[in-house]
Amino acid sequence: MEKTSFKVIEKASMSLSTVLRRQTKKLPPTFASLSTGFISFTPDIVKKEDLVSVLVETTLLDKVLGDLGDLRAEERVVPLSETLFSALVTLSTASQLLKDVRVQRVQTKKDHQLHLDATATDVTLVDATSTRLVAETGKDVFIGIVDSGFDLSHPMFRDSTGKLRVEGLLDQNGAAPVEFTRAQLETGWANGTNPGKDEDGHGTHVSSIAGGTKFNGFEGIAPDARFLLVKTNFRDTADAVKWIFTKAGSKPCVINMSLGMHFGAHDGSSAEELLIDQLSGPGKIVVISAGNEREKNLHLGGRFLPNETQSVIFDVPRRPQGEPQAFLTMWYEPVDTFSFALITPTGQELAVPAIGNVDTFSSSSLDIEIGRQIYAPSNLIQVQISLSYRSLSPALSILNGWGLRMKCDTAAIGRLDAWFANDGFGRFRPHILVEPMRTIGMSATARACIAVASHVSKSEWISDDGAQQDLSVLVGRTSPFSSQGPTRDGRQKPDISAPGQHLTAALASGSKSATIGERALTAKRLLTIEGTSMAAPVVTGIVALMLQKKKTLKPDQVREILAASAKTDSHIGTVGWNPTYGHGKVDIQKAIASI
Amino acid sequence: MWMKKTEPAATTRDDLVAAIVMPLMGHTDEQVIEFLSDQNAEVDRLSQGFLSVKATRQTLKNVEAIARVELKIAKQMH
Repeated sequence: MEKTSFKVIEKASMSLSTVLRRQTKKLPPTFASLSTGFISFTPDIVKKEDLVSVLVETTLLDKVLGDLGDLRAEERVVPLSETLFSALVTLSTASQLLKDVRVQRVQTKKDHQLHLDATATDVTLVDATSTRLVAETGKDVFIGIVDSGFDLSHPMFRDSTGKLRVEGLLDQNGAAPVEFTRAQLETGWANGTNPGKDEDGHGTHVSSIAGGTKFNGFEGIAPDARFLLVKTNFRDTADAVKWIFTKAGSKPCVINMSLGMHFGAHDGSSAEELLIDQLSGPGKIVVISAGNEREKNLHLGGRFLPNETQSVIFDVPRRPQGEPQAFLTMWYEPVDTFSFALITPTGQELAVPAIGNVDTFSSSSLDIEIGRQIYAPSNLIQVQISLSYRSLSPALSILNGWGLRMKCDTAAIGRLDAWFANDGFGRFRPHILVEPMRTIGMSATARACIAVASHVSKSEWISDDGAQQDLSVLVGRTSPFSSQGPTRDGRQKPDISAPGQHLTAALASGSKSATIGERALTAKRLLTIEGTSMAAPVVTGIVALMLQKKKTLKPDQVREILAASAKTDSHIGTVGWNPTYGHGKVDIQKAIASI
Repeated sequence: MWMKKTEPAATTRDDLVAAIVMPLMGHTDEQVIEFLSDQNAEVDRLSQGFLSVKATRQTLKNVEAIARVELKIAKQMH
């Protein structure tokens, strides 16, 4: 072995010293890296011919940047803080920076290893050497995804020969739903019409978590499953479930729905929930995300004593698009009697009418509808209040400071629950009745579905903007947003917790997600985001593996297996179900082994 | 000042509304489908006892005599 030695350049990192030496000595980067003895090879440090990606520390940032002069077209400088800037510069510019007395440090940006395996190891899909611990891969099982759309140009939707693993796609966004066969999808994505295109990026990410083909170091949970995809309008989701199960025919199929709402009784009695119960069965499973509303202040609930009165204040948030709206439903048992008043920001009281009546009110800026009825499916009393603003930008004085007074006149049970229809449709201010429990969304409250909560599996990731770290979360702990159970009727939901923060998976090209620099890793077509949306497809993939092993598993059997094999730890605490983690953290190896 | 109305606001929009319609006890899917089809509603049978319907608000109000009507509510991504 020939030994080569050189001095590390003052103020430069060893990697940068090596790269600069490469320039002067014309050494290949591998040799330059090896020559230092302990710097691992970082091929992306030198981006092109002589470009290097660096972080520069200086106490006179503005002056240093100003003195850099004209940069070449491919050079970029991005200030990060008062004393730090990121730069993609030529080696000569890097040398110039090192000679600048006002610069304290110049170091190359290191390639961080993608922590994609964090999820896979968390659920015991792979061991420390990334070897799969289960034989099942989802072969001969369908995974149905109901979501925002799908970038079918992404390699994670294609097999090793480049052919689509998608057997069919339904687009619900036109005047009428349009169905595409695999052949039509291949043609459409070859000629640029791109059926089912994902403008948001959510659906592509979710799909690849459940069943993506191995790509850039990441592999979905069930990479040999076949996809049935629905680009939904987010309203006809019941139709989507029916379409997928019909297409799957006699083959086993698991459907993922990483979406939800709160307009209902949260007791499994809504039409869509009852339909899910009916369509689910042997080899037909539905997995639904619990929701991200734990900290959204959209639910209040509690037991009232006779003659007890409570008052809460709520605000109506502006919306990114469209006029502000607030929809609130309240639910109580028919053996109890309540009286309510909505109090406008100007102090006017609008009483909630008796059962079977609806009152409407209008002003120049908004319409109000208040009604009360018997909700037959649950035999509950439902109170509904809707505020619909006419102006796109109403004054804060009519958006904020709404009051709601609740008086329990007689109580046998005395339980009252209220939900705003979803995030962005009203928010309670802090009050003893405003609780994170029972924030699990619908249709995750359906009896037959597997409802999934989220916990943290990693806090660091790589993006176009460099290394990212979320200091607000602790690996292993529940995600702070993850909605809690139980259902209003006291059933144990969510069923299980899975990694949902932060998950790296497929990035849809040209999507909204691709524009978020701290999330997208464009060159590798990957995206790191969080939500119970990301936790649900982990479980969906696991259920696909379970169905490969036993095609006729029923929803109750799947739930029992997941619950019995779930991991518990110091974060979860007591053994058994709890409203945050369900029965615990999902464990693939144990779940498969127990079938 | 708020103007109180004693009756629900009249529906002036003639847009089609999406709903799931479930026949009440004593009524069959076929009866409800026929009723809705006669009023030019779009009907798709999702499963026994569950119909996906697009119809005017008035049609949905009319069918409530023989079926439970639940409007489809838009969901959000999680």
